Amino acid sequence: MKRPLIIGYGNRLREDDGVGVRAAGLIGELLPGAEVVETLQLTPELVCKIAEASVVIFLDAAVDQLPGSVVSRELAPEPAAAWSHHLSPSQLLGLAEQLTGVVPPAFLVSAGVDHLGWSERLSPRAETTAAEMAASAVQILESC
Amino acid sequence: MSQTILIDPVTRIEGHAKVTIQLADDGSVADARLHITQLRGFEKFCENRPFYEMPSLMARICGICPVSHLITSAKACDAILGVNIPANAARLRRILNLAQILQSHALSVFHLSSPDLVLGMDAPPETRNLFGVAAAASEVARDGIRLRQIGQQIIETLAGKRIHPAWVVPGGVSAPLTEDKRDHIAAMLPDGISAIDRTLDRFRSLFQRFPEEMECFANFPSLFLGLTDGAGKLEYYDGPLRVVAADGNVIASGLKAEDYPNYIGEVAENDSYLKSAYYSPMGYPDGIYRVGPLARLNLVTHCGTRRADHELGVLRTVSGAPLLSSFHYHHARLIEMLYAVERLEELLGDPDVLNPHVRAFAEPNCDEGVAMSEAPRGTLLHHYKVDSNGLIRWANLIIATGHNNLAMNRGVKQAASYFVRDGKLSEGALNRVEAVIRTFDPCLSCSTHAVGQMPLRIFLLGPDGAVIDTRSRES
Repeated sequence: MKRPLIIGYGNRLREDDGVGVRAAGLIGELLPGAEVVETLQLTPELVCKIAEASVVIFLDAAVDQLPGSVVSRELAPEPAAAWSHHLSPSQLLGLAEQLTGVVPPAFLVSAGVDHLGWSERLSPRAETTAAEMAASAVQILESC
Repeated sequence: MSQTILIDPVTRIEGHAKVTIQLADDGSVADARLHITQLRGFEKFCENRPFYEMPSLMARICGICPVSHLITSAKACDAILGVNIPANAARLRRILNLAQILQSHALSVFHLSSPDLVLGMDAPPETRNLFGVAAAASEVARDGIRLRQIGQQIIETLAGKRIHPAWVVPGGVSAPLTEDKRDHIAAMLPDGISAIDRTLDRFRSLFQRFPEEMECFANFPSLFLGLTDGAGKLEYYDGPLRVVAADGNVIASGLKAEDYPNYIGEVAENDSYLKSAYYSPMGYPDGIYRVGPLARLNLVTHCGTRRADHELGVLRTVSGAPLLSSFHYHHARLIEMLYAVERLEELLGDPDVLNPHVRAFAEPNCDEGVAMSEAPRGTLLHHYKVDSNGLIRWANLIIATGHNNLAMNRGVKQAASYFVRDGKLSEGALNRVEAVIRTFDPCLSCSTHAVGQMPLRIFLLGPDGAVIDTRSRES
């Protein structure tokens, strides 16, 4: 039976860049039935997990959003012109579609951050934001 | 007037590099150099750290092969403790190392080199990537991704995380293998065998479509160096070092890691942060040698598993032995992936793999530790000296890419001489010069102990040193 896949990604050594990873951990506690992946960056190997998922939720930090804001949006697969060291969630979905023919519903929950220093700790605001991201993700899963 | 071509950055390798091609007055290639342009200095900033931190510190050298550094560092620390680790600890380290070789080779073959092999060296650069391969031959991309995932999942299952795990410690490993985890790992392996079989079926004939590349991709006599089990069988984790000449004759065997200053020399060139290693009994640069999959398969009598031995026999029958062209690194990597999965099956099938005795405890008993193991790219050496408090006083690391540096430089010159025409560097020639470097699968983060991605630039210089052409590509 397929189950939800939660992918939280970011660099936990760069303070609030790890907010998505923190949110993924929170969702893992709230929804034991979901598969939770905490990772530094998106890599092609995630295609295998995406193909087996009922729904995919990506959780990421964003520097082009108001700090502390949480935005959710549905994603569509996109082709990638070139790949080497970076994949976006939509490009990853595009690769999944190309290789497996399967693309489950997918969403990105992003949080605005502005503290990206050298620390393994989130700022107090990002701790709150991570909880909001988790709540948004759970809401999406309940509506799917 | 002589001219210079500059390729900067080199693409689809791990780290930053550039290539300079110096032309003679008649437009032919007078010289070519690979420059490694990054520096990190792990050997210095680990000084004064407690020795038992070294495995975790050294793993941070690289995000691709942290396990190799972790294992070699832990072995050097075992030597400082002066302990023989429990047999099952060594077995579990071997399993982890095999998984590392599987995932790293999958990255090299499928993610980095299959675009050249499947789409062709002259394919448009915008399609020469994994997406291009997925569009042209989806099963190749699918198998590559699956094989890398299997290797990474084994590492994660055993050691807690894919990148920079801390499970391997001085004296052994920090926790034994459970039955559940063993079964989880074993269940993935048949999938791996099938994926490698499919790849070999396709790639055996694919390789034959590159006769020019076989001819001029670092195709020259050199020594080959690597670990064996002592009797000539393939060995990655531990064993004496063997050196084989280009004619296949064993010129040294039974070499111990701690004696490396007697047989390995290093020179620093003024145009690269990567030192060049050489076999010191033959001097510099005559002691040029290669390490890694090609070298390992050239210096062993056999692998020791059924399928891998069969495939090695096929390769030797078709292409000869020893294999001198670095183009054969690709095929050698596939054979090693097959071996890794077969050997994982053997090790996991041993009932003692669940033995809970996996760590020896001791205070530092020696003031120096040296260790070698085989990383995916070749022999890896860590050497530490500690004070009476167990603090690191000095460290030296010799990495596979450093071992291969002389051969990579000679290979770049050979390929450039073949493909640079009339003082011009076409897109196809640029890619072939890069592809020579890719056959070695260099990891410049490791070899300079430096962090970074790996784009490449190639500079074409005239005889007066003026830059007359450059090709540049970001990673």
